[in-house]
Amino acid sequence: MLSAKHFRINFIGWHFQGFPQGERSTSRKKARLLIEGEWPGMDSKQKGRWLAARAVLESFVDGRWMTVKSRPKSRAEFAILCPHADEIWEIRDVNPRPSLRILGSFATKDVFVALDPYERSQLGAKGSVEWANAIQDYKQQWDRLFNERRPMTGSFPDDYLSYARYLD
Amino acid sequence: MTTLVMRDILTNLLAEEPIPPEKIAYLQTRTRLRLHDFILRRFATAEDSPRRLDQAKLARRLGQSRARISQQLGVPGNWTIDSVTKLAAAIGGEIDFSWRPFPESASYEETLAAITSRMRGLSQHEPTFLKRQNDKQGEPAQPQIGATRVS
Repeated sequence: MLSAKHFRINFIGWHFQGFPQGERSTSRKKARLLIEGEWPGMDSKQKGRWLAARAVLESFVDGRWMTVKSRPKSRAEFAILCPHADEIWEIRDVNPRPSLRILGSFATKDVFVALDPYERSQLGAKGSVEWANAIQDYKQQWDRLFNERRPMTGSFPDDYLSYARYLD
Repeated sequence: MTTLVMRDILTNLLAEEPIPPEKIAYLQTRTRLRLHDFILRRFATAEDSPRRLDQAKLARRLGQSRARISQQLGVPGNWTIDSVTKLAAAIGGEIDFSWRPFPESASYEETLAAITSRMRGLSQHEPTFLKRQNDKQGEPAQPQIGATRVS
């Protein structure tokens, strides 16, 4: 858990392009290696991208203002996926390529449970089979980890984030 | 549930020549995000002030469209020194800088202890200008706010 004041992120499981299926396990060590740029086999570009994603995570944990997506083609750092009722969010680092996504949900205000990181290209186009599978995987993981407990629900975005702006 | 504390990746950075490009990428993103946060905080403060600054007024001050201002505030990725200076001026101030050298060496545990100590210290000894704003907005102390300050 990363924690600074009231802002927290929990990392649960991590997916990364090129990893064997069997490696997609819940792993504290793996999560740490990815965001420290030390996972074996990553090239410099991949390391740079994941370290940049780490900077976004740190920004959230530090309690800084975060931008949230309010319309398509946004470059905001947080977005809630459709349908809203699923309460699945993504932390986004979109520039430069490859664009990264970390799927998660808010357990409570300012506490984000990060489950699955992806390179955006892994997920295909909107409505793709890959997206559907990712969401399915996500829901199964959540149920396995939290049983009946659901992510928080609330009014977008201020019930979720203390310092949220949608300006795009 | 996995509990994770991230290792400081900047310690001993200068022992590596050349500096790994991924660490440069990390620092570039971090700086962009901090600058973005800094401007958004100043803007939020100005929004709540008696003069009630808003994006439309900001746009008029800069002679730009409101859409352009919205885009600039929403995306820090393409900011330049010139563009952020204009934004700051229109909000009502200028940006000053402070220098923070990289740690030279420390074990993981020492780094963690230093961060914890620094956060405790900041919450007790916030700069006056920051404390005043925090009191006003009910914001938590910023562990790394020392990177920038308003003159």
